[in-house]
Amino acid sequence: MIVNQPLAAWLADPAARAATDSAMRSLAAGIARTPAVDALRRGVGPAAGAGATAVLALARAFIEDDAMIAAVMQAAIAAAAADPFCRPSLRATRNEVQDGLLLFSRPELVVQLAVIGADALAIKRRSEAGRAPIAFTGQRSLFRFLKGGGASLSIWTAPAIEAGFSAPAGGRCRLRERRRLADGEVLELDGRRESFLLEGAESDLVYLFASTPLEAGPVGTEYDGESLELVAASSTDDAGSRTQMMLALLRSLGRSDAAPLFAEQLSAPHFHARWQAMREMLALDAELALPHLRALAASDPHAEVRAAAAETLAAFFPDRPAIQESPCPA
Amino acid sequence: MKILDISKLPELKTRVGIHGSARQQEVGGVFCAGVVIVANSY
Repeated sequence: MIVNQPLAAWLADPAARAATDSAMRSLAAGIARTPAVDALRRGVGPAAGAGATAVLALARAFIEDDAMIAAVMQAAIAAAAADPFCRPSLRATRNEVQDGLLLFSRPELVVQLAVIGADALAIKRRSEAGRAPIAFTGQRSLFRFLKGGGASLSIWTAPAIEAGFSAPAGGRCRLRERRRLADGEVLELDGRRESFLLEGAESDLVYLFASTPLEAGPVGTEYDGESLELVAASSTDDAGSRTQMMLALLRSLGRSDAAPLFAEQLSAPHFHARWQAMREMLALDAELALPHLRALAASDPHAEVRAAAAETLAAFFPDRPAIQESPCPA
Repeated sequence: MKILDISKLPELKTRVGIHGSARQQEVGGVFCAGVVIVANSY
């Protein structure tokens, strides 16, 4: 870090740093008290009980509230103008084409305000040489483009990502429409079967984005931009992926006392999580895992899990008739 | 105790990366393991 004179002075002045801290806390409290933010915080829990449609309806009211957006931004700008070291007390998000601020973040709903740079977008598209991949998030989301930037937009569809998703059924995606993005446009996407691609823009885009993991498909997918064929899938479940990593750690530590935790994950909602938990359990204690493996082979709702379980039984337990086993109480 | 080598156990035919895996990051998808942010192919 290059410490210039104002920063050096600020760092050396405890009172100045305390004042900045106080300003940031005050800004955070002010944003939280904004009626729209408060209403969203109070409403998201009950809405989540009603499902993704209700959550997105709540989010739509929020992101269409121009007064809220203006109030939040004006408060942040005023605080920064009064103290250059006071940053908006909102989590920043960034990737190669966009910068954003998280306005709201709960497990059921994330809302952000962001800018997509036209130049960065052009560089990215040029580097992709007309083969931009098309990603389907597996989640439902809502966009409101405050400034459309004169962007060219293409909307794509693909076979729905459902609980029984498999790569062979992923097929190919196809172009539904291509058009210019309008200022103020609201775009609601079901990321289980819809996606869009910004192909270029005349100026920067400013947008609000809301997404809910409720009723998400088991995976998000990516299609090749040229062949339009499925090329990759990744989990939509953040907590589930973290749980998988923790199971791997427990297994590598030989913690067979944690076997009930592994067994619990065998009923995870997503097929890939169930099978990964079984692989980890087999590598932890195969005898404990065996009854559960048989159960997966017999009755898991996903065909690939049943097939993998049957293959494992045949390969590693060829001389162990099922009748000798009873399910582990864990 | 019988322990199987996890690398020898069958995988699903449909390979699934963990949430926020690099493949999705490339297209501006869910790009941070802790925070679900931007969807779609910017």
